[in-house]
Amino acid sequence: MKTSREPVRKPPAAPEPAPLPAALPEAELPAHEREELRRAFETQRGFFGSLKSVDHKVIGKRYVITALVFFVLGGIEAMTMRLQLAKPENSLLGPDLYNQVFTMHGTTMMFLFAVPVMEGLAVYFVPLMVGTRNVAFPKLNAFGYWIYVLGGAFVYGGFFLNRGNDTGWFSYVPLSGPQYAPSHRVDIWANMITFTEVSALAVAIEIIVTAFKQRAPGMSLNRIPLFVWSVITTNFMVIFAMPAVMLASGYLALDRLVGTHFFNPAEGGDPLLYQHLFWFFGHPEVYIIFIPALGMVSTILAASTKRPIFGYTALVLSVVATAFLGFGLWVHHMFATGLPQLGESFFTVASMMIAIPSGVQIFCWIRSLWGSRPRMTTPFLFVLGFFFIFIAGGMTGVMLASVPFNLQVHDTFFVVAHFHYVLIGGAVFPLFGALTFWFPKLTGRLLSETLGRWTFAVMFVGFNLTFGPMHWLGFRGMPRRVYTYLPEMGWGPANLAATIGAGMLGVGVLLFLINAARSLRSGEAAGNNPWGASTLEWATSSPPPPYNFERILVVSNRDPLWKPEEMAVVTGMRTDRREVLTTRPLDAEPDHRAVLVGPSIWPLFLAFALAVGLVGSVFTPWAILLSGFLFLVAMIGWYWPKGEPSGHNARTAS
Amino acid sequence: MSSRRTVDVSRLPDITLDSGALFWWATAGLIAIEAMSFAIIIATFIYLRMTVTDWPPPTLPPPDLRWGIAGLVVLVISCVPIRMAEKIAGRGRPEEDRRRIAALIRVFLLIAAVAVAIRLLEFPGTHCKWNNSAYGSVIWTTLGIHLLEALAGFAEFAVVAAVLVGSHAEEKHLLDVRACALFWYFIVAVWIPLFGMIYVFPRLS
Repeated sequence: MKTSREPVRKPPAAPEPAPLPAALPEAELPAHEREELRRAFETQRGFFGSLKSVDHKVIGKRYVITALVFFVLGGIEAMTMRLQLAKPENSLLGPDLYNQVFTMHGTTMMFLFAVPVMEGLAVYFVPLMVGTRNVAFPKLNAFGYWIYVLGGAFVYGGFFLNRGNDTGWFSYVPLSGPQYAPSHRVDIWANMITFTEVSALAVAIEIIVTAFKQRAPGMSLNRIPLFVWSVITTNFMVIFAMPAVMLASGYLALDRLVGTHFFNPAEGGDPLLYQHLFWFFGHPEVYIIFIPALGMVSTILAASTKRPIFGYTALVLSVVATAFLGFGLWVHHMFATGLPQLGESFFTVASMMIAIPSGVQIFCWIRSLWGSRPRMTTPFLFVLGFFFIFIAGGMTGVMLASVPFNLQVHDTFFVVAHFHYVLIGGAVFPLFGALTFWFPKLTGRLLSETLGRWTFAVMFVGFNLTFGPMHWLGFRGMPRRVYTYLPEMGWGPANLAATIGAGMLGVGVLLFLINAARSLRSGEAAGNNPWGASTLEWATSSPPPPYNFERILVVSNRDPLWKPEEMAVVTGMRTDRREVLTTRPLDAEPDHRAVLVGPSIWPLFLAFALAVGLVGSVFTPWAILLSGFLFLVAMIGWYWPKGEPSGHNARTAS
Repeated sequence: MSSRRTVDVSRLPDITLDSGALFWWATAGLIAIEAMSFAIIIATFIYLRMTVTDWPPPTLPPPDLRWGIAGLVVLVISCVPIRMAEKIAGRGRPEEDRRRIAALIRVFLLIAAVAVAIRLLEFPGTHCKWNNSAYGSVIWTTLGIHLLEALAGFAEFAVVAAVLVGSHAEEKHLLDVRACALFWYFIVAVWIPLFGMIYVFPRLS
């Protein structure tokens, strides 16, 4: 084909922009107004003050740091499993502890790390990227964080008391039912689910409303940054997926605690109902983790090539299409349960269809890179790593969508290899790229590029060394979730390789943490926009002030900071109270000036009220009554007017 | 450079009482979550129904229609004072209207309390317990979850009414009346299919 050899027409390169304060002097406020604004939005000082914080940046950072702590805990669990499997008939972990450890690993990574870390970055960056001062519901945001931390502490408290769930991260009945799991291990797990899902739902509502109602004037739907589109989509998925798992774990808890029969076939229940409900959540969950990462990839690509991303509309539609398709796939986790074949074929087709929007995105990204001279920074390297690993994982995904193949490798290490390629490749690599990319905005300091490259290299090699051999192990018949194997199986060398790889992966994460710690102490100052990126979070200082922007900016294109001469500012906002500009959902014309709530201890109290019910109901159903009473108290305290004009800090008003 | 465009928003209102308000959106989001939850409960119903031959289990009569219909009717009636309160709230005159709105909410609270009392009679009206069979489990759970939702809506309105008669009532509390009303309409509307699942469905087979 001749046409394929023709040089590709370059997309228009962005002009080198002037730094914002110089290009847009109107964006600055007089000093006294700036001071007023700071007082209106700042978090109160002291320990008690920090508990009352409702600043999305404070809460977003807490989410990210907490999620990374859980990531390290989940990683330590992974390492102990790998050490146990390093050689045949190893005796580091017994079968019971091994069961607890793999369950805790999956639970931690899915519920306590992957979703919250993405939500945390969304909480931090969505208001900045759409150019507003805080999320729409600041107290709800704080509540979401507290309930998440309490849930994590609850399940780890159980684990340290030898009450870690041992029935797998999806805890299928009947194994997790009252008959086969009589201790409180599963009860703690089932209620923990409710904690984390309530948290995710709280974030979902506030992010969607913030993104639809508080965008900078002029930021019509077709100018929303791609990362924001990806988290909007994700949070719609949260709204429709999380209720399924809350009900699944709720029914399970009821079966266990008060003797209902949802999953008991002897009394008209059905164990498969649990699997349907769980995977109706569980498959979208994978996309809830993965779609924000797609937004990160687009964001980093655009900043690295200094060109607008190619195929904006196609990328947005692909993300939305992936989200829709994601709800039609859940049965492919259940191919081995003996469902009707016609049904299975339907889900095979649906699963393979996912390759279409994924392919569209990959080609848009390739086209965005084509002919550009990307800067080979650490975030960009992580994006390249994502391409390689995620495409490999996608390929095994297409293989697994086929029922006959699926049945052969069901419950083997092939599946373990597949989903780690998709999840680590598809979400963790972009996440580390994004953390490196946004670190300057979060902290005001740059990470070391040298250490960053080493981090990437060690993680990339370590990852492939860990999970590459698992494909082979799966083909050789090694089942998942066994604590050891016999030497005659011949699985020893590949397992040893995987264990060494896991060690490398751990070293890579450690390097990242060392890099972050060093940079926090003595890193190079970042300035407002170290990458020369185009989105609004780079229009303010690093880290941003409590009010985010001195004046709300007005945008007229998708890459406002690349064309600062086309920007404008909003005047006439009050600076003496917590005012945000709301705009209309489609074209972002100014609508009204809403007043946001301020610091409050009630979100923490409400989280405790809910925790009393969820922790207590493991032991007695009466805990629900106490919790209900506390809940009512918290609701009244949350809502009751403070007797001061709306939107002022108590300290300022007095 | 000097003739930079600015957008002056100082004349925009502080609050809006219609669907442009942030709190209205929050309520809509909450309703979306609840609607999904109830959709899954209905799916559970249908799924469990499909796995057994007899629904309700043999020798068990279907739930008592008497209390079921009474509960449904009272719930629908409870929307009337709420609709009136919501309309008045929409005028946006807190000082003039707040006592009248609070009075209407008190009428509502009375009716809603009757609905809750009837619900407590609906439980024994199922002729079974939650731990007899999967049929009993799903019916009791549905009645229970919907009761919790109704209690939450009841509590919301009780607090709003108390604030409205207090000295700190502002225009934003009128918005709360409208948002709470939206949530209550949902609670009543979702009960119609659930009523069908509990009371009509077992009579069809």
